[in-house]
Amino acid sequence: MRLVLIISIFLLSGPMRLAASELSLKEALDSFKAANELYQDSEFRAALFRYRSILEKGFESADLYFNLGNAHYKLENYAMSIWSYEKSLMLEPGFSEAKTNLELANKSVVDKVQDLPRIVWWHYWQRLKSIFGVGGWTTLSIIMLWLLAAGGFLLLTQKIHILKRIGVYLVIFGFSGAIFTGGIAINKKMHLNNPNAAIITSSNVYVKSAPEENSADLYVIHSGLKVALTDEIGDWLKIQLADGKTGWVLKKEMKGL
Amino acid sequence: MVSKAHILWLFSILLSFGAAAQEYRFYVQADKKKVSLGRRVQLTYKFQGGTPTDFTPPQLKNFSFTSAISQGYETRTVNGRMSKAYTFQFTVKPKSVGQFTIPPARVTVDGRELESDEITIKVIDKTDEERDIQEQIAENLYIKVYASKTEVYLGEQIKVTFKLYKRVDLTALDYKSIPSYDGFWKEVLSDKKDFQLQNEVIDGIQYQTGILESVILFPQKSGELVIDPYVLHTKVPVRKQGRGRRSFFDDFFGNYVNYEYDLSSPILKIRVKPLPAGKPGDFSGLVGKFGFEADLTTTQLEVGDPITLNIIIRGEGNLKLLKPWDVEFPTGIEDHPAQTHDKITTSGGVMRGSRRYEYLMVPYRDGIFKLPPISLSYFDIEKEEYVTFSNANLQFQVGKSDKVIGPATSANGSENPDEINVLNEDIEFIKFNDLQLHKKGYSPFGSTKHLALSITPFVLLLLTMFFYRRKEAEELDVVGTKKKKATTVAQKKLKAAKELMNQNNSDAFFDEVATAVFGYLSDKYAISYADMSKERALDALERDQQPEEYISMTGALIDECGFARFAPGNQAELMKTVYDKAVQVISNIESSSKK
Repeated sequence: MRLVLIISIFLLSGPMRLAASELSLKEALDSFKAANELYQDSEFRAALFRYRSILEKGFESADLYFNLGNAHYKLENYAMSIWSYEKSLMLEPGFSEAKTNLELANKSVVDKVQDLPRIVWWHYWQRLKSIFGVGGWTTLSIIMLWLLAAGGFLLLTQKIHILKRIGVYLVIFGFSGAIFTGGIAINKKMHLNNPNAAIITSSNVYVKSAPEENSADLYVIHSGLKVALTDEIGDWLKIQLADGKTGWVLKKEMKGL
Repeated sequence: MVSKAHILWLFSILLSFGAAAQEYRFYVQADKKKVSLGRRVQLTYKFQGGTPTDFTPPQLKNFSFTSAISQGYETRTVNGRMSKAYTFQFTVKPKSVGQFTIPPARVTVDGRELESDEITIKVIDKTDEERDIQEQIAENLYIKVYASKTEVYLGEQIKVTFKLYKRVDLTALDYKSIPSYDGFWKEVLSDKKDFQLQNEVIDGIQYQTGILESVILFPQKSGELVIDPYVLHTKVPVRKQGRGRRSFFDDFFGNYVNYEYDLSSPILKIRVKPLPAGKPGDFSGLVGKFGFEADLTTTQLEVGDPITLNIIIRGEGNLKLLKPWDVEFPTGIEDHPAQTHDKITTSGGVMRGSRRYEYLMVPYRDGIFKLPPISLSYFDIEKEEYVTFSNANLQFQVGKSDKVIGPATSANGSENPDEINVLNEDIEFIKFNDLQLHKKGYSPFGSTKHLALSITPFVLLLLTMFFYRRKEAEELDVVGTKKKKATTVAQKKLKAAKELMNQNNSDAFFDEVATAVFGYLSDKYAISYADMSKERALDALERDQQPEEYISMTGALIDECGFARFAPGNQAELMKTVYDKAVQVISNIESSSKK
């Protein structure tokens, strides 16, 4: 009974905590709707400012980033639109419109970087992970836990052999499934919190061999290119391109995802 | 007068007639049999009666070849008979005085090797007169060759001039051999087209001089390079030697002959040194003395505006051999191939001037563009070392523009003719519904909802298990007590039955025993008393795996209880047996099910 009590307190505390931010959430939603109307009237700049203000209030969603990206696109800030679509897809990997628009925005990117060849399983793994967002994988892991509990119930209470057997299968399936889906959800959540990637925002950037202004120029990259970040020294970030090239770029030349 | 040659000729004819099988004639003729040193003899080999293939000239020891072999074919009709002959003709020059036999030449006819006859030629010394003539001509007619340097570096320029000096009249002048300058790249300053004679006084003597050819040479390989002589074939009118010692060239009352005279310049040798080691990687091949500039026409412009990179090289040397730079332009620039503008002169016999490469660029993107460093390395012949110029700081800023420029718009992918020509592409429209905003950093994983939903099934499981177990335990208890009570109930009933037996109340007795047995079995096997029948009781025993004899004994007892009261005979004795049997059955079942 005490357990039930603790759980119910726990369950209730959530909505109570949410209530505190309820007001600003409502405000943000109103802003969002207003921004969408501005967008519809082709007031892209004004819409852009509204979308941004919502982000500044500390809210986000895949849709918000998507709409923000569209506003940037219409204003021909392709690099920022790419950044927004990438953000949107990080939250909701299956967002097909965001994928389409990202593809269009990526056409403005001058640099065509060849991906490093990877084993085929790596691609399967990436594709599998991107079927759902963190939410989707979390939901799946919850379903797995329910199946595990149901299996446990059958196993412990039923006398009939076949039912017991189904129970065992359910326990095994639910247990491994919960670990697998929960693992992916954790993996994705960590990636989301720390994506270690950025979009180049300056028109063209000379990538340096060392984190100082006087070092040699290695190559040039242009706005809209997505780079991985591998190190940081002062104002400089070490970038890595999809083809494996590395170099140093000033922080101000890019926007972190 | 029958000369030796005629005899030989006749002899060879006779020979050929004599040998009927031999249908060919291969013989040699000379234009003269007696020749003075320094003059030439023309030899003609004739072959009749077949088609010769390989002509091998005779091995000459005392003569040297002075011309190539010219082949010919002639037909002649003698006494109505036509004869055909292949001819091989060349000239030779004697090396020393004496009488020499020229060995036979060879031809191959139908796979057979045939030899010609031999010929003997007498070489006499130059006559005093002839020697005199040659010396006199050589003094007054010669070609000099001038080279600005005879020891140079690879690629260094040299001026070479062939000049004719003459104090005699010429009745003919042919250009016999003009040097080909193998191993050099040449820039012609003047050649025979520009040949002009002019008067020049050298050491007080009046000459007519003319530049035959003047070139600037750039050696293309190292080592000792030989420049062939310039050779003229001339005819000099010489008065036949007669009375008195008058000048040769005096045509007064002259009886002149044309003396053929070959005039040759000395052989010029140029020693070409290879360039020293330590050649820079970007060595341009230039050798000389140079200056270098690279600049941009502007540094600030807008997208779509043209900008020009100029690379200028000035100086002395093999400028014309320079190739344009292969500038690697950054992306975002539409570049055009270099245009070359030359201001190169050769006046003064030196190649000098400037060459400018013009690269037109049109940026189609904005931003800062840095050009790769542009450098020039050349070999300085004065310092005798490599010199490198470099201009590394070429950059310009491109501002945005409203103009629509080339590749930026072709991003629609419409260049590919195989693809569907998409007229317009636009992004998917914004999202209006389900605006699921949440706090940044919020994650469904680890959220309250997630934790609650994850814990709930196990809480439910625990709760159900708890209640299920308790209920099951209760059910188990009911049956257990009944089982436990079964024997005591049966004993009570049997006790009652014994009392009835003592009272000799047989009807009641048999009822009591039946209830005792049925009640016992019903309690024992959890069958409700109302449903109890003989079949069900036996069934239950069978399921309990009681021994067969107990089951049949129980069946018999139940039957006896049913029929005994109607049976004739001693009721008291029957009661006793049934009672014993009942006790026996119950204790049997009880003891066997305890095992």
